[in-house]
Amino acid sequence: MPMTKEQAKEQLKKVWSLPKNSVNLGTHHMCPGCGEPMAYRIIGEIIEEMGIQENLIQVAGIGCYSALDVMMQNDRINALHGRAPSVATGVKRMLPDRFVITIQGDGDLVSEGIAEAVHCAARGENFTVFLLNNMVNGETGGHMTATTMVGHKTKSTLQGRDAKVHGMPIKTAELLAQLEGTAYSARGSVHSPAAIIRTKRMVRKALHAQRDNLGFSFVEILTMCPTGWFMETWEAPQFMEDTMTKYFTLGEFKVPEAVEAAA
Amino acid sequence: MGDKQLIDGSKAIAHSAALAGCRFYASYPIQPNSHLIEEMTQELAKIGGVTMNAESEGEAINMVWGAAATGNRAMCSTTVTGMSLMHEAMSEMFAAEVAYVFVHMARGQTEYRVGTRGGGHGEYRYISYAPHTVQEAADLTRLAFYTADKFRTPVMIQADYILTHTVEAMEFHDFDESDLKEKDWAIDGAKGRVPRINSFIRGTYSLGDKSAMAYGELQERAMERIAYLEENVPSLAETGHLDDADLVVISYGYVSRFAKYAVGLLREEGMKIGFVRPITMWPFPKKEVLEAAEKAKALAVFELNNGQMVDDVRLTVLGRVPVHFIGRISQDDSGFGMGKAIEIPNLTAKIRETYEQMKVPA
Repeated sequence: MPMTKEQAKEQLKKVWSLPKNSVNLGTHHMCPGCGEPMAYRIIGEIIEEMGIQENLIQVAGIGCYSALDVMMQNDRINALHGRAPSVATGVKRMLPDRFVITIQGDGDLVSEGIAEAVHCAARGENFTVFLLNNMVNGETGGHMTATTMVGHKTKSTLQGRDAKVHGMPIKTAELLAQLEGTAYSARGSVHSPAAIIRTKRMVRKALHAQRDNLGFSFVEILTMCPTGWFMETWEAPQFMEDTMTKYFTLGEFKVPEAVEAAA
Repeated sequence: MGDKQLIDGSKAIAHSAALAGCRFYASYPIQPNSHLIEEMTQELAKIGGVTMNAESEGEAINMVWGAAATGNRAMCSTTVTGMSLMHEAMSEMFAAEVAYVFVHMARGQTEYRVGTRGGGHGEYRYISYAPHTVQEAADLTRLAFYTADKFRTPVMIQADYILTHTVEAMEFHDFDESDLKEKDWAIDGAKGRVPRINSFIRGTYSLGDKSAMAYGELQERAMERIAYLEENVPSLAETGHLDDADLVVISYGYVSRFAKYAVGLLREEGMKIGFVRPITMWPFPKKEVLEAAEKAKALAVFELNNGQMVDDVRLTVLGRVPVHFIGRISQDDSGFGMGKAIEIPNLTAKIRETYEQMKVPA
């Protein structure tokens, strides 16, 4: 005997739904194929899962993602370029029972503000820094940053980044993992469903580390910028799979036992 | 409170900040600011506040931004090169309407412009107080925290090398702040309310507020805010002998004590000299300076720089009387800006020369 509609509904297990409270999935002004809204959604989904959107302060850096300001449904401070970790320090020290996160790009965190990030990690500031790394200063019109890979074309390196002239890109997740104040450091990506699922786990672990007062937590999320990379939108994820993730390897570089056990 | 104490300027500022309920202070060591860091560390520890010996000036001021944005009282301080480094944030903190107190622990007075006009980008002004005694340093610190909250804007205290190390008898007073409103702009987690955003791009607004300012509007609003502050923040000044003075000496901060003393000596000789000491550097005490200009034949500005406050005096009197500059850049070997120009024989000679030249018919 076939099941009734009601019976079928009862048997269906809800595995996913749109986050309602933490993320506004309305329109945004990013370029087609941009990975940043996906990174925002991952972060928002974990915030929703943990039910902390009313107990969280976001400090945003300056980049394309600053225009995603209506996407996150929480209190926010817009910090100056590179300075978000310092602003977050002031917030967290005053409100230690709130969750504090920064969302910054590679131009913001790595080029302009690496000192702030390093010192916050060294101090073991108990907040979470999310780095959206797309290897390019997208908002300025597509110029080189401190994470642009060697050989990669940008508006200021039209022949590709030359190591002899510009040096080597910085692997931020590995760098911060070395500091004793860092509780958790990982690199994820949004270029494939598998990578997104893995990145969600990283974001969850980072916020759990903050919840458990373990110290500085950091997740670098690789995002695509087909506009800045002179690529078609569909080429960018493949480029990340074939090339970018070979240099910026995905994975966890520091995981405290307490976090691992909880996960 | 009410008991006389013998303490130095830094201790007075630090204890006054603690009495005002300052919860957060960040700075980076640089002389003569470092003594204030030591005192703030001790004072805030007593009340459960946080002091950050930051890794750079830029980090210190941005930490203060974060702390102040949560609605807590916060303070920052530095001098010379630190002023330049911090101005990236300081300029934008005016736009973001962040209320905090800044102590400019200057080396001499070569940074009058930095302390009154800033050294950053865009349109902004600070309310600025220049104490001349340890007592006044304590009183103005309380006033600074109150004014910052009342007008939701940065307030600066212009102290200096001598003031930070001078020990004087003083007492801490009660301060009535009962008219301050609740901080309905604090960024403290959106519990049971619409999320708020504190931004130098659009000011502080509620998420989804269609009437929130756009970037251009915020820039234009700076103009209105500056005009409003200039009109509504009470400007303060100390004056002396304006009723009979032919020459009025204008001087600010600790240095003004030397000028006032020199004026006293010359008056004993029968010279008709008065003085004006601006206490608010901005809004500049135009009323008192104009009063001086109405009766006197000339004004003489004494400051330890190349005549930076002269601009403000001339913009106030608008050619009614001649404004002479009798100060100079005066450095001692330590570089803290307290050279020979403040020695009384040098100072009296300079005022006497101006007074006598003024008497010569044109």
